[in-house]
Amino acid sequence: MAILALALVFVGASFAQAQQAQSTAGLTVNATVSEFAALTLAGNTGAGAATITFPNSDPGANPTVTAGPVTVSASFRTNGTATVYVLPTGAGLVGSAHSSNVIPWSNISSTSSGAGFFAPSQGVAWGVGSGSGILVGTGTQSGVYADSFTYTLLNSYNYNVDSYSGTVTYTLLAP
Amino acid sequence: MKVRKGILSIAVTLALALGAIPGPASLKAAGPPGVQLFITPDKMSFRMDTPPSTAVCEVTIRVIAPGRTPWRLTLQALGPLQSPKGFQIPASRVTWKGSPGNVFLDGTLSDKHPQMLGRGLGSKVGVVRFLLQNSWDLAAGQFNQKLLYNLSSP
Repeated sequence: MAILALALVFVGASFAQAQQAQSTAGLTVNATVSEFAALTLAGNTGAGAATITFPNSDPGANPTVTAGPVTVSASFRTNGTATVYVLPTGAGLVGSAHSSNVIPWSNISSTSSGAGFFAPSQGVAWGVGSGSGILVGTGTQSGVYADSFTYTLLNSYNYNVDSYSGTVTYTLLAP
Repeated sequence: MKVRKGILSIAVTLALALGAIPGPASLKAAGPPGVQLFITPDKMSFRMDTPPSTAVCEVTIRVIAPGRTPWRLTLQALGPLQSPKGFQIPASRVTWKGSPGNVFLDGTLSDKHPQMLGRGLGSKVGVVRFLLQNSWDLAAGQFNQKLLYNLSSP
């Protein structure tokens, strides 16, 4: 009885061993994901720049005037914190007839829906730019983010008659 | 005497049974002999720059199987692609296209279950192109993982 039991166990083990021939091999996978950043402004002009125009209006009837929208799109891949800054150039909008005519940047503000990455952009007043500029976007999650910005100018009887223009620069930093 | 016959009977039965037992693969008369797997190269590196794009790596797979021995080949990741800073790329972001298509199949990598990569009869050689979708939502960094091929033959 003991011999028979041993034989059965052996038969079972042999079947299991012959059930499958098997071979395994490993493959090492490396992926290098580079940092990358791209910023676009989509307004009424071509790629790389957008132009907004504030309408001429009676300050008594319209104490503020608006312009835009401009769609700001930030695409970045980082493992740090990405930021978008607005940096005004010079003291403000400068008159074309007389460069001494200036509407200070502090009289202009911008706002967006302020969702997610562009949360800091809601109701941002522009002062004179310093350093990196005025923060309008920040986040750590790589991705593509876009928001629609509108711009507001404080209207005033004190502005000299002239045609004013100025430039602000949007900068995306993704370390 | 009756007892002695009984023992003899058991011994003969056992010998016959052993003769009919299929042995391990190394025994010549015992089922299919072993199959062998060769992968070249044993390391692949995806480089992902400007998205959206697809990074591609290619490996050559050779299965050595005598005669018309059937085999099947599966592939499984041991986890998501992992960066030293803790960021991950899901294994399912890696897909592959096998050729010839009647042997090596297209598929999507998984770290949960082995995925069928190929099946055939006898020795075969094929090329598998691995694709990694490059998109903005990936964190920057160096990612690593191991994949495990498993070749089996019934």
